[in-house]
Amino acid sequence: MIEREIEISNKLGLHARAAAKLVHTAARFASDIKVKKGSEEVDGKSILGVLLLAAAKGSKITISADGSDENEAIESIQQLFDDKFDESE
Amino acid sequence: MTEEPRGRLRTYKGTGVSPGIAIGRALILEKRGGSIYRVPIRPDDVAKELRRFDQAIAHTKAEIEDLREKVTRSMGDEYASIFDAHAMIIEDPSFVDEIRQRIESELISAEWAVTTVKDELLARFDSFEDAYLRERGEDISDVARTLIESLEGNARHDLSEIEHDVIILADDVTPSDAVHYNRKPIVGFATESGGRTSHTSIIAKSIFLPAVIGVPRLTEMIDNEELVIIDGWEGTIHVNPSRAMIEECLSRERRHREQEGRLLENRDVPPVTRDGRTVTLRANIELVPEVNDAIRFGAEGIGLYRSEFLYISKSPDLPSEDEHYEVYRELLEKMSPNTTIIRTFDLGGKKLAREVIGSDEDNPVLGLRGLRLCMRHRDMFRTQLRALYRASVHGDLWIMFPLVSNLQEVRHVKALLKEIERQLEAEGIEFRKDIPVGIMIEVPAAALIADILATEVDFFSIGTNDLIQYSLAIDRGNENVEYLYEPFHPGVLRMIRGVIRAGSEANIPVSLCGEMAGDPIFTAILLGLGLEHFSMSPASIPMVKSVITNLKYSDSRRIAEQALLRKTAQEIEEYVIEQVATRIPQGLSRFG
Repeated sequence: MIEREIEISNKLGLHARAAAKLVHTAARFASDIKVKKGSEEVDGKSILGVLLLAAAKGSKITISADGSDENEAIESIQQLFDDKFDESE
Repeated sequence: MTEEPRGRLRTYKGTGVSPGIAIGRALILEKRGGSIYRVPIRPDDVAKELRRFDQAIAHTKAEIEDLREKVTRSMGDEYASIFDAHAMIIEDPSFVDEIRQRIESELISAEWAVTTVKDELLARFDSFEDAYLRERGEDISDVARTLIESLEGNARHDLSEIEHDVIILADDVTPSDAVHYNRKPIVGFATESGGRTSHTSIIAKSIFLPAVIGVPRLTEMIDNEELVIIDGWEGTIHVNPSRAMIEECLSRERRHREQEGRLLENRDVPPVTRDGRTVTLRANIELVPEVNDAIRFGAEGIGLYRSEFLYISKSPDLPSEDEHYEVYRELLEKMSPNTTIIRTFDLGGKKLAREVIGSDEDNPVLGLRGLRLCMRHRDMFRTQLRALYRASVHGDLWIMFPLVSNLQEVRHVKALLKEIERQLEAEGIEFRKDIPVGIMIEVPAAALIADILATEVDFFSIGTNDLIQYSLAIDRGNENVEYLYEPFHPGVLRMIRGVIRAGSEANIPVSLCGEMAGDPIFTAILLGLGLEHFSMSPASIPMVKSVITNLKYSDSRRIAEQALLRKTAQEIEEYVIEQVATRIPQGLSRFG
């Protein structure tokens, strides 16, 4: 299992569209993917879970992936955050 | 949610607004946007309910996809991606599996399961600090709404499938809900809010549905499926009654019905006082079938047909000219040769006119309603007026306009009537040329200029419910100030006296169609003030008639005169009751 801490830097945080992209990406992989904020951990493949984290800009989350394609999964997700979900700032 | 009723006898006190005893199983009605019932389902029906839910999911998915495509075409991919989130929500196991699980374990309808899961999620979103993220709860609401709409589209949970009698319990019941309660399996209802003279109460009474209102926290204190007795005479609700209590209630019901039967014996007795003054007793109705009740109880005409219920039962669509016409024709034919007074749409205020007005008002009761609303929405009004004119050949139609406050309004509406007449003439359509045109007197200023208004209209009808609430500046549905709702207030009585006098001086008929007319406690004083035309709910007619036939007009003149010398509503009430009680053998009771 690998974990990565990410600070949310896109303007609107993990709102519906960003959360949808995250879930969409996570769902492409066989690995279990979790998103954790503070003490709360949710399934990275559940949009409600991700939305309910209420991760606004500036908050820190931890993504973990566990499975055969965990490396690829975590890289793809990291990429989403790095690209700020392709949002115009 | 309980499957096991609590089993304990409980009694709650409210206000009885429609007499009668009803016994049935509690059905809690929740109002959130649309009407979603917390309908219990049988264990055998779980599989069917789950299938219905799965179909709704499939339908919702297709709908979201469809929307996504449309938005992509019109606005581009970036906007459309919002629907990705919706599509994901509808596939998210933490949402849909939770709903499935509740249908199974709590034995509730899919609609109700969706509603509760959605509400719980929304509560969590509401607690977010970040405003933008908080608003994402809207996405959940959106999806839930589409889901419920598809559920309602497929084999909607129909109350008619319920085999036992039910009593509806709700925080509030709108007049349009109540209109639809006029059928099995609903045998009665009770609400947390509402006042004695609210329109909902009026409807309940008119369809003979026992009702109790104003019981705080009712829907929390009673569970679905518990056995409930509604006692509309006493204003009580008994939950889990013993067999003995059921027997007692039923025998009370019998006694009341017997009394009513005795009163009905005076059906064909003319309403004449012992010293020979004749008055007319007409009926207030809102639904066409009530004409039969009006006739059964001995009404000599319809004193108030509340035409807005035509609209309410069709809402949000407006009735067509022919739909109006058919209803009016039927009313007039059934009541002929007696008079039928049809009041034009009295919408607005609290009466569901948002579809017509188009927006909320800060103070709707003083806003665009009654005649004002109709004059603003001329097309809607013309449709109704044309239908009234066309129907006029079928009986003795009088047309009445609500909520008039000055003479200009009367002149404007009369000009509109002239226009309609010319139009119909040009089209070669037959109508009566001499239709009496009257107004409701329900605004204090109108009451005070009744002499002026009387020069331009053919009759008055005093609408005491509004007149009282406007002159005393109290909302009759507000429990905090309901105690100030005093029909015996000397100010109110002086106004009524003034209107009756103005009418008599101008030689035009004055009728009274508020709740006061049907409450026997007021009969003597209204008679004594000179009122000749009473209009009330059909069931009140026998009781009021029996008061009239037991009184002398000369006595009631004296009672009214003396009453008006007193200074407070309480003094007047005590005096009137004392005077009348000695003259009426069977005593006075608010409910015949």
